[in-house]
Amino acid sequence: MHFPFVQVGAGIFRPIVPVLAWGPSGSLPMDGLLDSGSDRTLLPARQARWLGIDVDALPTTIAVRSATGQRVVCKATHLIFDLRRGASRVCWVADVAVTTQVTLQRPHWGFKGFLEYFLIEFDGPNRAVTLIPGTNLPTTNPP
Amino acid sequence: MNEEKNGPMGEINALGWDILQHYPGKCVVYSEDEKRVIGVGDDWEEAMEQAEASGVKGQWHTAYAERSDENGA
Repeated sequence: MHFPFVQVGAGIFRPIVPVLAWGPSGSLPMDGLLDSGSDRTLLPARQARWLGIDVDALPTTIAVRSATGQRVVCKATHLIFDLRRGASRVCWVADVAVTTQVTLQRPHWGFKGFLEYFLIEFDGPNRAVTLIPGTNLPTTNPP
Repeated sequence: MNEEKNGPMGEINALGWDILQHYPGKCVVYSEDEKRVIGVGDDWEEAMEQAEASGVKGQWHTAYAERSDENGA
């Protein structure tokens, strides 16, 4: 699955990949950064709530250290992630860390829940990234 | 949330610079059905509230618009 980098500023391009996330209440496409420096897949709480997740009621708390050294407190949950490109589509159950801290506005597709399941090629010269699902991808049927 | 809100989609593309450049540093909610921005805010609470107040149904798409003068690290 081939995704072009997304321009986010003058001459600035990033590997931002759109994921259709499914929760108990519905689905929401969200653009997240492929982040090899993140141990977790991180999601702002408001989007999780919109998908029907009661964030406050989630029992498991996770501490995440951000790239800027901040300690971010998250709640653990699962969502179905749906990735579509051309004729290809993969759906899997993703471990997601949800944070209420407003310092995180963009979802990060980190190792647990996302990167751990793909072979990934970052193609800088062509400003594109290719994701190949691994055999360990916990696929599920599309909702 | 009704069925209409979860309509079928084909390929999903990230929101482009042509849209997001107008909202640096903002959270953006975009209507895939109406092809327009329906919510903008300094945080997701504000952006989603604005989108809900728009009354627009169908598939929404969320993206954060970076400040164009900032490099990531």
